[in-house]
Amino acid sequence: MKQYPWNKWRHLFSPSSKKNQLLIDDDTIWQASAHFNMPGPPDALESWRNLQTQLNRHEIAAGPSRSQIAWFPRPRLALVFTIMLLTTISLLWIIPVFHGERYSTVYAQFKTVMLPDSSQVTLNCGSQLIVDRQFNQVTRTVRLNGEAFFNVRKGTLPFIVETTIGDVRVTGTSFNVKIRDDRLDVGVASGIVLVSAQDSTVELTKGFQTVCMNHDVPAVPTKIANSLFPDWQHNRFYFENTSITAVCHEIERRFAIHIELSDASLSAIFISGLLEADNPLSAMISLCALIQKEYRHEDDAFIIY
Amino acid sequence: MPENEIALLQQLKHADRDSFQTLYLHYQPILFRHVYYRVKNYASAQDIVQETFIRVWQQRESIKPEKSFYAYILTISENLIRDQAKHRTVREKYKYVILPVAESLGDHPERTFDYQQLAETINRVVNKHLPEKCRTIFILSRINGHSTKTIANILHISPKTVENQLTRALAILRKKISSDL
Repeated sequence: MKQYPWNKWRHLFSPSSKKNQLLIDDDTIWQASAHFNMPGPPDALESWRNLQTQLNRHEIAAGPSRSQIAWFPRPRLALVFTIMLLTTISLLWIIPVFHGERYSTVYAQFKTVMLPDSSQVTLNCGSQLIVDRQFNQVTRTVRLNGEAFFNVRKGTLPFIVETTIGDVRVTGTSFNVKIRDDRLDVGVASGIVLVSAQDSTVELTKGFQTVCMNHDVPAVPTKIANSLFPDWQHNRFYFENTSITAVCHEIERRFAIHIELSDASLSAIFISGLLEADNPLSAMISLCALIQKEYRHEDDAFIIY
Repeated sequence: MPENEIALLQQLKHADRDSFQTLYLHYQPILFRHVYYRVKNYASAQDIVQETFIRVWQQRESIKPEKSFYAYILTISENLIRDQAKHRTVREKYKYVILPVAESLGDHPERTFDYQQLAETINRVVNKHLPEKCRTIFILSRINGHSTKTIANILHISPKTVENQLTRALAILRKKISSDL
């Protein structure tokens, strides 16, 4: 017999079948098809930045489009229009009423926002950011619900992230803020950050994190154990002694999927470690491997059993 | 698909980069998995996905918001895959990382090995023998892990059509894998 890979499934052959036909069933094909070695997709935000650069290059190389040429038949008209546009933008910039901006992401969505001071905020899935109407005038204040990574440009005005639990104050640095129910987590990638809650303040330096729970004061800073910090920007989930329910909520938020536990006793499981977060399947596979359980996909839900 | 896809597409038609970014961040991983499953080369898949979105931006005025955006970008990327196959300019720059699929199978390392080899065979049959619509739905289901309902939403078709196409895919796969012996 010729050496085909599926000679390994000899047990699936029927010795009496005509033409030595392989009795491979739909279920085996269905299961095996999901085991294709698929690498994680390239980082979406990084790719988006590359795409923007490429688009800008294309547009510069192409020159004005046909529609633009039709709009500006004469260079003088184009100049007048540009001046009017710049004046309008300047007016909008001066009048504070136009400053208040809201940004939000739904489940399975990320968004990078450039603030007027050139600070950059990347919102994780299911998060909201409100930029103060007078941002960049007296203070640089934003209000966050959910999770975001901040890359704050150095400036004379303090940059403040307000949350329902506590505030984070910096001058120029990069850090991650995460709010879940009554818990606030802050970790610093570079620079110095002050975290305040209940009239108490702690100072965080690079590589340190703190947590405020149940409206208590910020905890004593600890070193960030996860080398891939912040986890969500590296397509990973990092958990430290986290309940399976909370883990499932994070995966649901990330991929806009629904996860159910087949048995209430499973909710007593707590896990620590890194999980793959390239796609829903890789997350479910690595979670189930970690807790030594299985999952099945039924209707619109992943069921862990 | 994003909740407000039609609104996003309407804004994209008016050159709104934020809407384009939202669509890109949502569909880039899904499209990448489809293209990678087709070309099995990381760098090529990455290039094709980027080129697809460049064309979307360049041809944004011709987008029809009421139609499936995923079907639209899939058509562009399939054309690029065909062009690439013609010219054979595939680069072998990057080695891909294999996900720890084996872990989920615990005590059955042989089963893992068999499954992965069968998955490779299935990949060849899918690329060679499945009709385009059938292939798209199969990849969305088995590689992207989407449910019937989600696939129906993404492609603007009925769940029944998705189920029929998956049944058809399995029938073709079963027949082709068997007859290749």
